[in-house]
Amino acid sequence: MNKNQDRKENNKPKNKSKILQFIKNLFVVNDYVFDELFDIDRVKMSKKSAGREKSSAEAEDKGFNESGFRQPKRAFTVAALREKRFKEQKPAPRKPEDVPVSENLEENLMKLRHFFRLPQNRDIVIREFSVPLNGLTKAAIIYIDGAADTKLVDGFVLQPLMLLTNINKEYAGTLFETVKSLLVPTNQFAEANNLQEVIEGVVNGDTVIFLEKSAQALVVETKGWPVRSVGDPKTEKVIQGPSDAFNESFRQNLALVRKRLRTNALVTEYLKVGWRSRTDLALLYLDGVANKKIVYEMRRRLKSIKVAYVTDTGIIQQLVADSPYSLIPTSLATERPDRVTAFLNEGHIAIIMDGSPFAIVAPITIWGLLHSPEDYYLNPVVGSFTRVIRTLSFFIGVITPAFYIAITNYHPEMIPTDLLLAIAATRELVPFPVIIETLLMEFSFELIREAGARIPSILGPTIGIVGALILGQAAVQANIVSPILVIVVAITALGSFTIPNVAFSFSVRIIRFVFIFLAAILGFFGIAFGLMVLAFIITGTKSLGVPMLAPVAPFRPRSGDLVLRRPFFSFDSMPKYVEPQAKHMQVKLIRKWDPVSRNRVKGDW
Amino acid sequence: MYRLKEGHINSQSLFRILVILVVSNIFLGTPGAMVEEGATAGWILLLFAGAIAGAGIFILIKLLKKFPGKNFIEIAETLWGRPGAVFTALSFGILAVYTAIISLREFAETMLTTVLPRTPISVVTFFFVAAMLLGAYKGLEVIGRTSILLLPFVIGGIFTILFLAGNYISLNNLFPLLGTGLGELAYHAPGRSSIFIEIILVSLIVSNISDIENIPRATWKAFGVSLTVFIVVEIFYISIFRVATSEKLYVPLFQMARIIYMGRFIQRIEAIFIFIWFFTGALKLTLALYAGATALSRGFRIPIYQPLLFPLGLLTFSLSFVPPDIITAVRIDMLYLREYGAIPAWGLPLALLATSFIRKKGGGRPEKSQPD
Repeated sequence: MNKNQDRKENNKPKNKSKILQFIKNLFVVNDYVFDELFDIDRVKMSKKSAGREKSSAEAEDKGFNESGFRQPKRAFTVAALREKRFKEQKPAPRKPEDVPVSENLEENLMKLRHFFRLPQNRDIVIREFSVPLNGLTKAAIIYIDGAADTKLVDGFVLQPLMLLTNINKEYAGTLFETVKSLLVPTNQFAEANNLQEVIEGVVNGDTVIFLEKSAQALVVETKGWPVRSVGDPKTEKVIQGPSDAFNESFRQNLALVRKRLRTNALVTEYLKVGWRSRTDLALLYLDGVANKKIVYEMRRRLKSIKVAYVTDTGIIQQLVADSPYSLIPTSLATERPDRVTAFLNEGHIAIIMDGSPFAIVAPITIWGLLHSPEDYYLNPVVGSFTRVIRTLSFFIGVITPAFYIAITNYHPEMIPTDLLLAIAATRELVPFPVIIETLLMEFSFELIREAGARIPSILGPTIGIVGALILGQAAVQANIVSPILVIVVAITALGSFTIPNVAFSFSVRIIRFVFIFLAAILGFFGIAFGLMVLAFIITGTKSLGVPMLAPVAPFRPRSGDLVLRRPFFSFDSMPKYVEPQAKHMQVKLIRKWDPVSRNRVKGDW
Repeated sequence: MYRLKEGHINSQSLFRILVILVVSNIFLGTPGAMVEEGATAGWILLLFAGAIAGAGIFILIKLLKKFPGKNFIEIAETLWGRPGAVFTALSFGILAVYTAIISLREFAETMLTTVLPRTPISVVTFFFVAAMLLGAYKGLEVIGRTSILLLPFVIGGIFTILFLAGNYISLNNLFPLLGTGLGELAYHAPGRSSIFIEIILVSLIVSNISDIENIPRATWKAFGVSLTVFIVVEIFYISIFRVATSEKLYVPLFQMARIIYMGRFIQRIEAIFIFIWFFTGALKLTLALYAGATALSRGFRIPIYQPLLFPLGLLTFSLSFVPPDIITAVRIDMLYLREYGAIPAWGLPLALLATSFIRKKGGGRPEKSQPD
């Protein structure tokens, strides 16, 4: 054996082992692998010791196996790596919903400190105290400074627990039950069984009470967020009619709606949106009036939103829109509670979100975007007149500049000769073609508008001076633009600002530029092409499945509330296009004393 | 993936679609052709042609009632088997695309001769094709709604022209009342009934209509309204321009718009009527393209028609340049499409109805109606 071994060693050329060593040094990654591959002797040795795994495992710690050789490092095979990684992995941090409220108060507080990142997090308040029940029971409350109303915390949580317990020594079951039923005189509370519920309560501005030896915590409503009081609407002002508007407070907004619709059929479904912001959101509808399919569809869309946070209902509008790229808004954002209630009454649904002063109303039609609540508050003739003006303003806002370009460039024969001469005279000194002139003015106007929206209100009058004087007067005097074009641009601007819905007004202004280009290329033919495409697009747009031009195209029985408004007493039927469950808005004969009204209904009432 | 739906329309939309389709012929050479063949009795020729078209529509509706809820190609498949269905679909598709090609050229040329004399025809054609591709892609629902939206403007526009040009009317121009004579009128009537062949579109989209029970009524109503408008325009046309001029004019309504002079301020407002021209033309072309694609997709069992739109649109665009000039295009329209178009249009339903009587097939339940 020895002889054989010696012979083998002698036979092995020395330079071979050197080469192997060299290769090994080149790839110093894992010597074991190379040993096994290249060092035949050691492979043999390991095979020999294969039968004695126990002892070799014991020797592993020392780095040598029993044969005296250095134990090779652990093989980096895939399986071994996986095992290593698994062992090295820290235990996953437990989620708050997996951690039940413990009977040990200290343990609860310790875990909460961990979850709330204390002590870095300075506005989380943990107040420990004792309740004089069952001797002295340790207790603690936790709330967020600023989110909870400290007066409520002091007066309705701490005071009864610390002081009133001395007056009344009666018990109602366990200590927790006693505190719940006798000692926390607040209107809303909830029991928390795990830390997720506790955290949810605390971040929502509530105060959570922990008691020693009780495996439940009490979440007491003490919300005291800073909120603005109910103010005037900023974008939807009316001359006659209510002027309270939504603000950023969720509950106040709901209350404003409830105040106007005092019926038990008004449902407010609460949802949470945003997995980080956990924003409150309410879906409002009148049960028995709104179409169940529409409610179901909106609920489905809202529930399927998976985003980190939302800041405003404007984002919700985009997230639930039928066609998010559509220039025509497919839902209505309004800050007027009276508008929301009117729509709810007609079988639409509304969404109110915490932190947003705008409610969303859906489904909506293009007529709804052109309506103003004032139309209803004034005489039907006046209401109809203002609506006609607004509907015309849509077309004025979209095609006036395009029309001007088309007429002056392509169809001058349309203009009566005197007017043509007048226009030609004013254009005589202007060096630009009409399209450049128009784009120049439209672009300047957009600049003024955008600057006007961004400028601090204290500098507001500056815009007027810049706009009127420099762009109007001076541009004309300098022969940069013709005075007729200034009139055209002004009328267009008025047209687009007459549209009551802000989003729709923006769309009109963007569509206008498309029409300007089309008119510059092809005159009336281009405008006709644009109108045709616009018609195809608008008729194809849907809001929650309801076509935007609903009672007109597709044709549906009308309730007399589109461009012309019937008198209020003749709104008998609900708008059919939302397919409401209720058939009638009101009884047919409202003005029973009026013989004319009685004739209208002809004994049908 | 975006779901491609064909959509459903109701009989209201059907009525307006059909009216737009038939009335669109007024804007082109048809009134002139009527005068050519009937002279002062051009409008009586329309009545004769209307009678024949009415018989055709009667057969068509009879057939549709026999197979409720089934479209033309399905009926052909039931009666004639697969080859029959393919034949019907092909004839329908070719007829539709042919109509699209000729109408595209004519409408584009109208635009050129009236308002855009220095624009290349390819530009105008391109915009027409773009509009028709968009509309046809959006589907029947959108086309139907757009027709509802635009029909009042079209009809209103036509009657505005008639009203404003009314001060040129001379009733003497309508005499002799019978024009070229009853025999001549009767001889030309079958061919001229082709101006109503667009109505057979109803047989193709019958399965897309939500209220099938109202289809006959809507079809008859559409036929009646469009015939009335046609006759009124024809009477105005002849009485304003006289026979000698009327034969020569290509776009009668445009000529009427040109002569309008209501004081110094309202004169030459023909450019305004570009809008109704374009709306009617684009809707007609859209429907023709839609009909062609739908017929082919149904005949060859392609589940959606949208992939066929672009090739057919390109084909229409290219082939519309084949006629060397507007005169040839009008001649193709008047001498072929509006002369022999009646043969497949009224012949196919008649053949199908005859087969169904011979083979005693028919019946079947209507599919469940779906909301629009």
